[in-house]
Amino acid sequence: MNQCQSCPSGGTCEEGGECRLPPGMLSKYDLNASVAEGLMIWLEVRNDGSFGIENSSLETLCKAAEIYEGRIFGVVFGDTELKPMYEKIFSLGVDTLYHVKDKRLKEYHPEAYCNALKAIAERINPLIILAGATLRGSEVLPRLAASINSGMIADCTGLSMEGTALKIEHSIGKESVISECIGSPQMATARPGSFKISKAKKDGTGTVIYWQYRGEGFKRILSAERIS
Amino acid sequence: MKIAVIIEQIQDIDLADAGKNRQDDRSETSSLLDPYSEYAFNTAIGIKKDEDTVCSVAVGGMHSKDALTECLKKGSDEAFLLADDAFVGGDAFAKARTLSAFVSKYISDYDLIICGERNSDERTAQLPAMLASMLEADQFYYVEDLTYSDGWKVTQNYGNERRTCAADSGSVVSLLKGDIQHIPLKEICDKNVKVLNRIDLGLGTYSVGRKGSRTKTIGSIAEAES
Repeated sequence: MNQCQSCPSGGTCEEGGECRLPPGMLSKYDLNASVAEGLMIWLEVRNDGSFGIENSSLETLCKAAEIYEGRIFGVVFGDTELKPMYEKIFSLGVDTLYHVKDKRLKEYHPEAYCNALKAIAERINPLIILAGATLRGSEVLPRLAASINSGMIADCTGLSMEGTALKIEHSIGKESVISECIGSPQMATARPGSFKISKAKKDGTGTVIYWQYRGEGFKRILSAERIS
Repeated sequence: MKIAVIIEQIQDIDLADAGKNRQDDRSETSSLLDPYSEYAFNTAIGIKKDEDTVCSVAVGGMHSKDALTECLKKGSDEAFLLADDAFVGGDAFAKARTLSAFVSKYISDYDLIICGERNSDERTAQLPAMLASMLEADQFYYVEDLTYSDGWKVTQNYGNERRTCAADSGSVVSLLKGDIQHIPLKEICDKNVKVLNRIDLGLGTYSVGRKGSRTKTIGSIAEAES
């Protein structure tokens, strides 16, 4: 049966399933196409006693701003001490910054970090999620990928865009290969040192959204010590 | 108490020709019990007391049977090989889904899952986190010390911070590699490796292997440049 795909009747309307839309409209407006848009990046706060964002996060941000033309969403975990960093983050390409504020998240808890990133990803529905392949980034992103039923490529050394597809260069054994994620969001962690931190791309202004984390996922830390 | 250890047959993927065996298809590579898995297994055996059981599990081709047989000879109580043609070419996501289906169906009473550092997925260490997420369990990466005394205690090394946490039963632990102590093999082993396929795990063809993967390799950079 010649079913009409343009109305909700599923081909049972009186017109006998004839499409009443202007020619070409169905092909132009693909209702099954993903509406995911934007690039989300976790900007990891340094945990070595010095203040600031991890260099690998900034490197990844600069590369993201270079290859992606749409809106870039940054995510940081921390308290008010991060405010002086806003200008630098915005100048390197972030348009909207989600600042996850919870005193409990001053300590690193991978499950809670993942839950918060997942909640933000569900809110903005990004096409791409990136992070630096630091020890923490390599731990949180795979958990996030599995929790949102997505795949990811770890430790990438190159990123480029082909339409809406993110081409990811990484190594398998001694060979460098190009991979891509199926579906969205497309996720990757970038090997530290793979990209350069560029000069400021725009003025240091943007939108900050304070995000209150209300979830669980906190570990029972018995002791912690800083090591050199 | 039941401790599950994820065993990998070969980790030295430098031996594998990535160009020919795309997506971690190692069906033609030689059989080896990789040192990361061996250290994880030895740690489990070191913790094990008389009433405890250690369960070794590997995802791979039938060639992985040798590694699991070795685990049985070294003191593993059970060994499962998840082998099916449909599993070939799976990425970390597909492999984690296969393992989570196995854990839920066959060893749901486990106390701890131990993985080796850089386990099972081209040294990218995604598998423990993905498995933990699918099992809705806590995860502990970079663990350099693991003890049990009225509950699990794990010491993690994050490079600039070392911390000790209490771990709940059901957690997934990824161990940093340490010195491997030699465990003598038993001459006689009356246990066999149990082989489970996709149907045994109750998984569809589009949930496993290449079809169930969330990533795909589209070519080598050398090919792209030429």
